[in-house]
This record gives sequence, structure tokens and C-alpha cells, in this order.
Amino acid sequence: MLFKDWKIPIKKASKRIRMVGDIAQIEKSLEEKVFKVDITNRKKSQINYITGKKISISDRLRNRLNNVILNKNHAWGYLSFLIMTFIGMWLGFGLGKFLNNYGVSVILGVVGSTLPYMYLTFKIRAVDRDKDKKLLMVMGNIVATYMTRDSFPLSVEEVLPTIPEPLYRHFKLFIDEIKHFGADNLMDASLRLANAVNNYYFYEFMQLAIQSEYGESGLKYTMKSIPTDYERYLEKNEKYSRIISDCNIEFIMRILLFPIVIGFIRVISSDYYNILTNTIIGKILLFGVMIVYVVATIIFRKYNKDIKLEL
Amino acid sequence: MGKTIVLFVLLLINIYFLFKGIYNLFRLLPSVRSMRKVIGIKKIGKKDKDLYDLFTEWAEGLSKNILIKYFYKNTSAREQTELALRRTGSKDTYEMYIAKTIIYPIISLVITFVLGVFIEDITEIAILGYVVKSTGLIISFLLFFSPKTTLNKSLSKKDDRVILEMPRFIRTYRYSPNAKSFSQVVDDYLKTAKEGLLYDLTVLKADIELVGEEKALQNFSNRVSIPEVREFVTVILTSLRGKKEEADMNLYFVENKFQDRIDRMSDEEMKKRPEVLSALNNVLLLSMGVLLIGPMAIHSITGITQIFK
Repeated sequence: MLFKDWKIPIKKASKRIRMVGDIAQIEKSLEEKVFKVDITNRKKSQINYITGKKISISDRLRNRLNNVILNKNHAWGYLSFLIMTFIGMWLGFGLGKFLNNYGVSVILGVVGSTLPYMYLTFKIRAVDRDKDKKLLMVMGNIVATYMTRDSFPLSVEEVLPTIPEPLYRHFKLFIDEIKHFGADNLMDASLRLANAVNNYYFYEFMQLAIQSEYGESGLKYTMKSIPTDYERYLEKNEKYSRIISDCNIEFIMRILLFPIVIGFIRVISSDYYNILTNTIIGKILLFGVMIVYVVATIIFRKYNKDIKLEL
Repeated sequence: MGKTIVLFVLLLINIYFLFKGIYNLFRLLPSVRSMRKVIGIKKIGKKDKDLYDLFTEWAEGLSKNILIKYFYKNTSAREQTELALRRTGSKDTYEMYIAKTIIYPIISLVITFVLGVFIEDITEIAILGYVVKSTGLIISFLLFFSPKTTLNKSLSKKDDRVILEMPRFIRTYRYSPNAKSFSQVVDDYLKTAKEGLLYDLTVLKADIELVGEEKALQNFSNRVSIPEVREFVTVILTSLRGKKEEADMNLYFVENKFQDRIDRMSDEEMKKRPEVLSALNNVLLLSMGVLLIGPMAIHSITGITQIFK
């Protein structure tokens, strides 16, 4: 009975969406009206570059969301992302209202609206970690063959069968582009490959490759040293992640403790629960603890980032 | 009738040429838009001087004409600070550096002293004047030391960047073929050098062309005062006299020494993180305790729930 009731609003929402139009059409309109970043405005970007003006906050936010939503490691689109953010916001707000506290409901609403974004970044990061480990081997192989060949694309083509899957499609596209559009396309294709793989060391690697293809053949030997740098970086961060993982598990336990403690208070005595939800002191107490949690989460995220050894 | 037609045609032709002439005149004159562009191009590089610029110019001149002429006569110290200023990429000249150490504190002292006297007169409270004067004294004392400390800090940062980039340079030299000389490797590496080694390697390249490889390398090790760099230079110097293959093993050891230094640098940051995270976890646990015990404590004080309702 309860589950039937739960499914009704979703069915209604889906019917309404069908009434508005095709989902693909909605996605397209969202892309054009809400999430569009005006990169094509050449004059504006040039003025910004010369005057050293920073990109506006809304544009930066849109850029970031686009980077996350358009990533191909998950099946979400603009519409599903927006729906999930609204659901998260609604859930957080409702939970605060259940505790009879408007301050808490505002905080939980904001936190709930950021949950889908966090989930997506977490998912993308998990795929990226796997990709980064494979990238080391690929870079080493390409350099080893490039030492004895004259052309970079030919050496990539020779290594291509040994490249594992999340990276294979990017390299295959690179080779195909050069085959079909000629060697004049080399620079654009390699920059596109570097952007698609999205790794600092690989970006440097590809820049050196472009330079060495256009005449500076002495840079081959600097290219050979980049995989070693990258290996050091990976080693360092792996060692660090092992140390930090215990603290992370503890932190998740603390977060799970929050609903357990409130349930515990409700179970032992309704008076205590009443004080927490209906008096001003209790409300301020709950609000303060909530703020401590949010600040702690921000600090936690900051101290969980990778160590940078970039030059 | 014929006369009027001829005159009319002549008039038309005249009017045509008149308009063409006017058109030509306007075409030859530069348009407002292009005039603006020319004015804009002329303005590039020129800067409108404000009050602070005039003040800095005055201070620079004062330090050049009086302070350096009569008090700061030590040339070796001057060379050292100038080298440090150039290596860190700061825009200040040596004159400006001296002005910042001497003239700026004196001016701040004078301003705060006058302000203190002024406040004392208006409020007629002696303590307030003393407070302002003493804070001015402290500020000028700090200003006296600030140029040197900032320069030292940026120098140590620069050294860190050099240490980070050095292994890549050594590896490039190790991996290049034996027929390639050291100066050729430096030439090639400079095309991709980063912020750390860019300045020092460009100076090294110029030195090699002027005074030869050995002297240039010695200058390089004097300029960059890091022990590992000195070791690297000695290895390179011995390899220049003998064969390159013989130095390969030594180069590998020097590279490892740099890597150890980098490891130590990152370990310092790494040690901090678990401590911070465990402290954070403690804070969360304690806040949970407050949430649990708070209602009980409030409940135990009878009547307080009635007041705050």
C-alpha cells in the first residue's frame, strides 16, 4: 500500500514531462538557455585576455557543471541532473521541517542540492583513478617506440593494440583523424587528445610531442623523462591515500552518527526530544551542530585532495 | 533652347565632380574610429602617474643620491641582493629595496608621531597619544625588516621550484645521445623550461657562449646555492673532461638525491593531514555529545523550559 502511494508522484511527473515534449528537446533547450557558456564570442574573450579580467562567477559555475554533466563516464543528462538536485533540495528541506527547525531546513536544503554533484564527481574520480594508472604504461610504451621512429602518429599507431579500454577510444580517434584529414591536422588532433584524457602530465607530454614533430627533435629526450615524473607522483599519492583512509572511514561513521543520536533521544524520552525540537535553546543547539558539520565537511574535502608535484 | 540644355549639362557635370571631390576629401581624412585606434596605440606602455608613483620615484632618487652614495657602499652585498631580486623575478631595483628598508619606516614613524600629537591635543587624554605613538614605533620596526624577510621567503620558494624541476633536466641529459654536447642539451631544454630553471639556465647559456663551459658551470653553482646543484655541477665537469658514459652512474645518484629532497618536502605536508583529520573527527564526536547531553541538562533545570517557550 505504502509503496503504491510512493510511486504515484513519479508517474504524474513523467506524464507531465511527456506532455511538455520530447526529453531530447528539453535537454537541447536547457543546453541552449541555461548551461550555455559563450566561448564563441571572440572579441569578448580577447578583451578579457588583454585586460587580465577574470571569468565571471556564473560562467565559472556553468563551466564546472558542464564539465561534470557532459562527462561520458555516467549516463546523466541536464534534465536528470536538475531533477535530482530538486529532489535532494526537497528532501533536505523536508527533513529540517520534520525537526521543526527552519534554520536546519535551509542548511539541509543547500546540502541536499549539492549531493547529486558530489555523487557525479565521486563517480568520475573513481573512473579517472583507473585511467591514470593505465596512462603511465601507455606513455612509457609510446615514448619507447618514438625513440626509434621519426613520426609520433606512426609510433602511436604501432602501440595502439596494447592500449587498454578507457583510453583506447581517445587514441583511436586521434589516429583516425590524422589518417582521414592528413598530417596538417596533427596539432589540433593532439590538443584534442590531450584535453580528452585530461591529465596534467599527459598534457605536457603532448605539448612536447607537438613541438618535436614541428622540428625540435631534441625534445624527444625530455619527453622520455615525463613518465618517470608521473610514476613518482602516483607513488606518492598512493602511499598517502593508505594513511588517510582510516581517517575517512571514521569521518563517515561520525556522519552516520547524527541521525542515530536524534533517534536515540526520541526513543529514551519524548521530553528530551520536545526540548530539542520545540524550544528556542534546542533549536539553536541543533542549528549550531549542523553548521559545525557543514564546516567540517568542507575542511574534509580540502584535505582529501591529491598532493600536487607540478612544475 | 540649345544654350540652356548645354548649360544644364555643364551644371550637372560640375555638380557630379563637386560631390566626387567632397567624397574624396572625406575618404582621405582618417575616420573617427581609426583616429581613436591610433590614439589608443600611442597610449600603450604609457602610464598615468598618480601620487604613489611620484612618491616612489622620489624615494628611489633619494636612496640613489644619498643613502647608497654615503652609507651603503658595500658592493658585494649589493651584488648579492641584486642577484636575489633578479632570480626571484621581483620588479624592485636595488635603490627601491634600500628605500623600502630605510625611508618607508621613517615616514611611517613621522606620520604616526604627528597623528599621536594631534590626537593628544584634541582629546586631552595623554594615554591615547602614547598608544598611537608606540604602535607607530612597532610598525616602523616591522617595516624595517620586511623587505629582507620577504626576499628570503621568495628565495626559498624559488629554491623549492628549482629542486622540483632539476630531476627532469638531469634525466633529459642522461637520455640524450652521447654525441650531443652539454650546451646543446641546455639549448634544447630551454625551449620547454618552466618557471624554476628558466632564469638560471638562460644565464648559463649566455655564459657558455661568453666564457666557455667550465667557467659558466662554476658560475651556475655559485648562483644557485643548493648543495645538490653543486654536486651536479662537479659531476658534469668531470664528464666534460672524460667520457659521458662514465658519468652516467654518478648522474643517476645525483638525480636520486634530488628526488629524496622532493620526498622530504612532500612528507612535511603529508604529516599534517592525518593530524588535522583526526582533530576534525574529535570535534564532530564532541558536538554529538553536546547534542545528546544538552537536552538532558536543560530538562534537569526545572522550569527553564517554561521560560524559553
